[in-house]
Amino acid sequence: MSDLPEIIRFRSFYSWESLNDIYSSIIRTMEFFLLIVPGINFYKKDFPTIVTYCMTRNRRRSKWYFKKVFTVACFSVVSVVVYSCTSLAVLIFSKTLSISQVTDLIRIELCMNLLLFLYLVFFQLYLNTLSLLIKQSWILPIGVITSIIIALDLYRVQIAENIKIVLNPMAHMFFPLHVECSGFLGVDDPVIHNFTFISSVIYFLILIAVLVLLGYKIFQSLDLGLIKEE
Amino acid sequence: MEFIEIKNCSKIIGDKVILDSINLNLHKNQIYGFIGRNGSGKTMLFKAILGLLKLSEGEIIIDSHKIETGDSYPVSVGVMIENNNLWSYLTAFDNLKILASIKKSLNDHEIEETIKRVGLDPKSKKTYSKFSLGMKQRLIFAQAIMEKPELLVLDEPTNALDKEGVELFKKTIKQEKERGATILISSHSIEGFNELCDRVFEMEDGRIINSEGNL
Repeated sequence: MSDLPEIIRFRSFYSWESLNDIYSSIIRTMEFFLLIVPGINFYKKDFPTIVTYCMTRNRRRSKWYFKKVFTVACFSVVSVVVYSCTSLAVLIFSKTLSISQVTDLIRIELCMNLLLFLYLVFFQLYLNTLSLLIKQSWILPIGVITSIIIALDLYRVQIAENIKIVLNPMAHMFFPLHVECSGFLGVDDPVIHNFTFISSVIYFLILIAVLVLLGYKIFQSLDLGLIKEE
Repeated sequence: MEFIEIKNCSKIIGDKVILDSINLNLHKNQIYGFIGRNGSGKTMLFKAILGLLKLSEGEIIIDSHKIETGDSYPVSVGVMIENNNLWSYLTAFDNLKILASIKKSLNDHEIEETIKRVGLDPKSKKTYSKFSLGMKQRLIFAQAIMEKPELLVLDEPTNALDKEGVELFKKTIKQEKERGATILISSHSIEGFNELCDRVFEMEDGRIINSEGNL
């Protein structure tokens, strides 16, 4: 008998049922926050040096800014690949799967990876944009607090009886995956019908576009000459 | 025609006037000195010229190119200003290579030649963090001149340099002028400046209070 439904169930469980109480919601949220910790300081890294010696060579601030946004996206790709390879390797080594089963599993994985990538890009851009306005030393605590708020809100969304509009980014990462897994298993879950893979991708793209534009506006308004090394 | 036009340039932060209605016309291929004690506004004026400072009033035009407060810097400029931090874990060569990669205008040989010009060893494996203050200053000077910019903006360039370093600096500045560069240098002391500069401006409280020279 194929192990695949069981694995899909496991994946589904991993993405959904494991969020059933506040503590596990917080743990899952913090797990993803840890993936972005090395990248929350991209904008401000070597900032005084870069402002003086790189930016005057770039001629335009926008060029520097969009390079940073691109780097954030690249870093998120690396995080997703590392995370996904690790979790997939654990799965494959713990179960004996045929190539066709792995192919089916990869479809689910790709779904999750794309959403995880978008979530990580969003979170990194959010913290990096904030870092343009506040002290660098505040970024880490703010990231932790935001993660906890997201986790608590995720729990609220899960126990709510009627879900219409959800803005929680973690929900937009996990719920469509659960829909995918449920569809694969032939299970119908009416509670989360509103969440489709496409709608969540669009939601993240809008969120990311807003953050990129907001960061650009803030960066353009900075008096770079007055920024001191922290 | 002037190379740099500074028109009624002011910068006010809170209730403090940092730059006070500065008007200057600077010609191409000259060396200009700006002297004044700490806090007189030299560095801020340089930052404004570089487009790193949003002016409260006025405008700066370099080679017919207006320096926008938000998104535009001088076309060809070498900078040595206030911050002498480069990447601490890299050697002199690697630091310059990173900076040169932005414009992609130099090859490895040219980078090595620039490092030699300022009296450092391009083959040295010593990282920037292990440099003395004088060596750091030399390397910062090297990054400013390496791409043969039309404008050199040098804030307190002789700080931390020994006598030999200062002489090498002066010699290199004269060579840069011969090449065609326009050079702005600031210092808190006039000592040794008169012989180097075509014109010297004295600054105090964000204003130009005096100028000396033959222009």
